[in-house]
Amino acid sequence: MTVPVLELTRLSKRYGEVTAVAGLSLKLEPGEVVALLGENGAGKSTVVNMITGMTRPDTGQIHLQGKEVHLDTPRDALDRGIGVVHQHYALVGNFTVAETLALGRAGPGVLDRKVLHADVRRVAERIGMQMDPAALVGSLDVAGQQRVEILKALSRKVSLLVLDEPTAVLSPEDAARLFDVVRALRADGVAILMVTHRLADVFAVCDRAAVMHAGHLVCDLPVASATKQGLISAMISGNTDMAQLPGLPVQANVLPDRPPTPVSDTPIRVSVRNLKLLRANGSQAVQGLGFDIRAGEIMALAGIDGNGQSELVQCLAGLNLPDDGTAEICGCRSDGHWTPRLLRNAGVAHVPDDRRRYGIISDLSLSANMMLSHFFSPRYGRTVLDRARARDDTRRAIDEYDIRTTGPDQPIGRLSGGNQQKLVLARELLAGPRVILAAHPSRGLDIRTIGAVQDILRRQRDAGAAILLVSADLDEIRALADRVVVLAAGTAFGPVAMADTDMAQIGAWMAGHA
Amino acid sequence: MLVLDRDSRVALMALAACALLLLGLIALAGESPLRVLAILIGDGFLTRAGLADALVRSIPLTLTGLGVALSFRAGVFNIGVDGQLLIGAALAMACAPILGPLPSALALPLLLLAGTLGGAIWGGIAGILKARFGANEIIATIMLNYIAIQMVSWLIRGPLQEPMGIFPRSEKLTASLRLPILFDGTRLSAGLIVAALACVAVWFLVARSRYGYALTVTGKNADAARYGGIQPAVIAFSVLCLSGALAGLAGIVEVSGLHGRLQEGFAGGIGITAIAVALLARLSPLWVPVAAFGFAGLYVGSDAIARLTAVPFPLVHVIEGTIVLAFLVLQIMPKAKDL
Repeated sequence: MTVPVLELTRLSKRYGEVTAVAGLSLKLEPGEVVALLGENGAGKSTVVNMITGMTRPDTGQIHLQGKEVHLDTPRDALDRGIGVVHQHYALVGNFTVAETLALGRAGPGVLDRKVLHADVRRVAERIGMQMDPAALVGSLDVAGQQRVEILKALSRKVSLLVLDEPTAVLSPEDAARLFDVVRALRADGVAILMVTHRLADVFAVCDRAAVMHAGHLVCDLPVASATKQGLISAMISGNTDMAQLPGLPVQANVLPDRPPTPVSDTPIRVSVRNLKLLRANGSQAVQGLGFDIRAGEIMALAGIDGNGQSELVQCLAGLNLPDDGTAEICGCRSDGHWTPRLLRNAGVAHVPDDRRRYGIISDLSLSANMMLSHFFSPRYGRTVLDRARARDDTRRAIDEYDIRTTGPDQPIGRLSGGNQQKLVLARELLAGPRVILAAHPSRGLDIRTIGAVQDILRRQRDAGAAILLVSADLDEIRALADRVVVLAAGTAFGPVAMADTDMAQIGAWMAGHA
Repeated sequence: MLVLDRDSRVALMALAACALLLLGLIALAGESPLRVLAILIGDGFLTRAGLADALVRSIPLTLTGLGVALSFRAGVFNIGVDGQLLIGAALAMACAPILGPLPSALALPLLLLAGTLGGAIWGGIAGILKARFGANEIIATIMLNYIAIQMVSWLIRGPLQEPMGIFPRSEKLTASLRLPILFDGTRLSAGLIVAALACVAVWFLVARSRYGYALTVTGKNADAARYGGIQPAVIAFSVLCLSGALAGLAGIVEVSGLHGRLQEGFAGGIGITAIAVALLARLSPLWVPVAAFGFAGLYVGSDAIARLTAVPFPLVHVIEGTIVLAFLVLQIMPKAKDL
């Protein structure tokens, strides 16, 4: 009998009131590829963090090669042969591939580039990977950078490799190449834990599938005996009845009763035709996307993060131009004048997904942040700023949204993320917008506030706003949306009315499975 | 008890080491450090002549410091104050023959306006390079400095040279184009009033106006500015124009209020000091005149040290530098405690 490379025994982790992982046990044998599946927030990242020494479990043990270990820092994990490739790469663009691999390992003195380059080639050839050691990391595309991260992990002796969402940003061809590398590593006896949302990955390369739901491991079975429908159902509902029974259709989830909203006769506020968007690194985020949003309607844009949602919202907010196709909002067209200022004046509100980057200025006060979106409206004056009015608006928002702060003059950076988000929401909804682009509006909020935010969005819809709701949370989509579009792997599914679909279908689409 | 983080302790220790070294050097030069300090403060700030001289020197430092503070607030690093100042002064001097016959109440404001315009144009060139072609404003403004210096050099040997044609300098401004002296027996001109007005105007712009808000937002978070509808490129261009305008105004105020004519090196080093002034004032327009006055007094006091003591002149610069460093360190300390 072989000794498992990694054995997790009843691991649990709580963050305050929230149980992220509850009593999870999992075993990885040498040369085994295990997929760790689950929705956003199911607890996958926490498991990865515990394995890689980023967080410590509250209870439970981790055994490596049969010995119990305590991983207090990422360094501990590295030293014990656990390599990890994170979803967001930590690379230095000005370094060559070889220099990147030397980073943190080379001793003092002169780097012997010849030896380094030979090392890189040796590691790369072992797993059948093409890599030029002298290439600048910044010049590589996403797939190339991912290969550098994998090489970085493999340049130490690893017995376990954790891949966090490795295919999220890859094209199908690059994903196939990644799977070849995974197979080569498996043949080498390396155990691989692949965290993923995509069922295609599971069936392409994995030996076992472990599904998490709400912190629990709900099923763990050989891929050969799993079905797509079963895994989807386990991911969405934690229901494992069908995971192993091939061929059975998935029952449609019963949607909560909602008054049908008669929106077919209201004016179209947002119109997207044949839209193509590229990411900053040149890879394709969205292609051939088309939908309309009418006044008084909530359109959900579902999908796992990183499938083009940010690019789409930024385009509709005027921050980017489409790379092909057109968008039209309230009479403004993307092939004409298309700027944030113009669209804001036309009545577009934008709750950004990256709040710290776009939504707030940390050093400035709450009331100064309040003015950011209404800068070009006459609300706070045309030449001289009406700071008193901004302070009044802020005070009202503090009361209405229950923002925990010392007052409108406190720098917003001192607030917790949830309270910052509340101010952003208050600001965006302040002037009665006609179109609301809401990217993850309830992210970082507590349950009570989430309910309040959803109420507010419903009220805005009933008041006639057209709302694009970006969310990866199926419960939120079910609670709010009238129609839904799903983005996955560069393609779009839908739009389809919520009444004509079910959660299983949406979940399958999110997993890139038509 | 005051608890200091590691960086603050290192800074304090470096400062103490500097001070000790300085005392040692002064002692080596054969002077009592106490006497040197007494002269520095006494002659720089406490005598009538010293005070007036410090105020004279603080006028261009205030105007240029305001300009630097504006641009730095927007995250745009205008290192080209010297060039903008020169071009401002040169354009105004070129206009002087036309303005000369006009009554002083009309001619003087027009002269100042011409200087302001010249500086704005010179800043605006860097602004266009940055906004339109993405050039780095630091490089652009520094290079424009060299062009400005050589242009003025040529102007005062060619088109703008005094009719005598002996010295490389322009003709003296007529009395109607000179800023009046405020107090008899000093060189302190009405430029002081111009500087004070500029402080109020820039303060209003920064603290009360919509444009000032856009500047601050762009400087602190350019992505958030774009999100709010502000175009960082427009801000960069406009703030370089404004910053240059203030430098140009400083140039013509310096000529009209103090020197009376354009000559080489009449305002050397102001651009670099202006950056120190703005940083010391933490880019706040109301603190800029205070910082400028501090620097000016330091210069006047240093001159006195060089004149009255055995301390060699290079050491005077070392003393200046150490004092500025001390202020910067003391300024960092409370900030470090916050964190």
